[in-house]
Amino acid sequence: MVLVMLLMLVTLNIFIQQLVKEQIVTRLQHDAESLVSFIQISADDHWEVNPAHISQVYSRVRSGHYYIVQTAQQTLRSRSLFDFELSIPEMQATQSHSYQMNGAGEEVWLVWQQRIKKNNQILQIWVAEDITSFQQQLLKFSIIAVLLVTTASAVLVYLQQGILNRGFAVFDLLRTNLQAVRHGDMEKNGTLVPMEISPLVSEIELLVEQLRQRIKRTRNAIGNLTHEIKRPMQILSLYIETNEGKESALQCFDEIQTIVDRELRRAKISGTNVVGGAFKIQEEIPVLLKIMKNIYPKISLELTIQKNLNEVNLDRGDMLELSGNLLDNACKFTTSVVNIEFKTAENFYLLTVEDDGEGVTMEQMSLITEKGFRLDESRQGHGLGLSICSDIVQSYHGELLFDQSALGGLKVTVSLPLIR
Amino acid sequence: MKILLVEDDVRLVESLRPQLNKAGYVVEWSDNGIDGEFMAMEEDFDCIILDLGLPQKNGLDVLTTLRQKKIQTPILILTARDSWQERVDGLKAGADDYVGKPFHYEELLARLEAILRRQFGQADNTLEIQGLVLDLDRQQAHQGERTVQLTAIEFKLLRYLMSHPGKIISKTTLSEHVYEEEQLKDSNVIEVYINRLRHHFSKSLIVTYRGQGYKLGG
Repeated sequence: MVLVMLLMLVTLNIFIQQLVKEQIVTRLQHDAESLVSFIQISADDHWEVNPAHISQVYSRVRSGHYYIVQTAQQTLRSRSLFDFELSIPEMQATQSHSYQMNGAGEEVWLVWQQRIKKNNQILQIWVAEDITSFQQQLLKFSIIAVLLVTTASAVLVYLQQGILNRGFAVFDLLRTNLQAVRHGDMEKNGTLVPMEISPLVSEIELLVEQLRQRIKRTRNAIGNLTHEIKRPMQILSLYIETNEGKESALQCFDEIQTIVDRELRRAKISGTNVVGGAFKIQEEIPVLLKIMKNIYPKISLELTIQKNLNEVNLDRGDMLELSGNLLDNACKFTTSVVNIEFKTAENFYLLTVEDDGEGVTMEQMSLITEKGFRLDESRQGHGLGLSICSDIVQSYHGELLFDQSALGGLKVTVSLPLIR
Repeated sequence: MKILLVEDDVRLVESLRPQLNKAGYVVEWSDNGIDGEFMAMEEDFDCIILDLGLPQKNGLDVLTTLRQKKIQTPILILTARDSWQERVDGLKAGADDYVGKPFHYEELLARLEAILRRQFGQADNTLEIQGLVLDLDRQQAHQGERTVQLTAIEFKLLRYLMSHPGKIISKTTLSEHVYEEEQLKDSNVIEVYINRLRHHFSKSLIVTYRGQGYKLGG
């Protein structure tokens, strides 16, 4: 930054010098012109400058303003030149130019020289002005400017340092808070967070919480899987040893498959509210219905989606798993019709699936709601699918409700909190 | 009916193939994505059974490539990846159906037949042309009161002809859809079986187009 400013200064300096010199040269030109008009041939056939017209500065010794007029025979010098000896350089043809030269004493002269014709004689006009004082002023200006720029830069750097330090102090605090989270001290977090980064902090908090939940679910799933799979495996190995009971062996096999399936699906639950809308209901659900029609060709499926409900901020995998399982269940137990509906109500997404099957008794209904399906899990059908659904709904802090459908069968309603 | 099975689990193929043959399907097999894709593009199959976890080229990529190249053969995905999301992805990529592993054989066969029925616009598991009804489940043909139990080759031949009514089908095509590659027969054998079908039902059922092939119905 300082470098750039210095460069600017140097440029400015050169620019000013150029400008002033041009100004002086113009003035010298005018002086030369008036000099030419006041020069005349006297009675004794000599050239002379009319002393009545010429400026006083040319008469004062070392005034800083000088002229020389040279003709073929004589040289006319301003009185101001005094004893300074100088022969002006010869010029060819009719032309003019300006240059700088060292003058009398310490002076530096800016010179304008031109060659003209007057009364059929060639005259060399030489006009000079001392520019020492101008140069001194420029030097003074430069020094002051450099000092100013240096001071300003120093102050700026200091101020910026301060701002940066204050900015990063925020992250120090954040790091301390995160360490607290890592050490399991969740309570300490979120109290002393500066406003600017509080959205970031709450995102991180959400992420940490989700990861915690996911790890917990995965760990549970692996634990459940290994424990539960051992029982049917034991029975299966007995059957194989005794080479008897093919039916029971197949049952064991189905049981293993159910357990594996359930825990795999459970482990896959993401439980994420996606910002910006990730699940496109209008696009995905019809494909799901097509799959259902392939599996259950005889059942008629009715889909209703609330108008303008295109995207929801929920994980696509979770939502497909949820609706897929509810539909699969309903199709298994229905007689001929299954209805599925998506809508929003107040601050909830509502997903309703109902069928015209036999439904479940009040007793069963209270059982599944109270016990969270545990009793139903071993059985293929309502159990497995609903158990996964319950896990997904829980991970979104939603609710799963069972009711008697107007169609006659079971009506399952899922309500998930709407997060904007 | 000729089926392409793209599956890298040899044990599964060994147990599945005889079952499919028994149901009257000619099965060509590929154990990797690249070969499977090539075969699907070069040969005329009635259906492709596609695994997703394939060596060399992933099944979903094979599916996408085939659909991009306008290969419209019906495709049934057979895979252990069977979450609803994966099923939806499979169908969106252009599959016609999706069966999760492990599956029951009857389930696969039913879904396969459903795909073929949709392909040929049938309502149920029978084909009917000019009063001749072919029961695909029992591999029997009914004509009026008469029921004819068909041999495996007769059934495959009649099914293929009835699935493409009104079209002239060459002996080579028929042979390819009736025999597997390593057992491909001289086209004269097809002639023999055509004659046996004519003998079962009526001489005018199948029309011969000299130098071109055979036509049934239409």
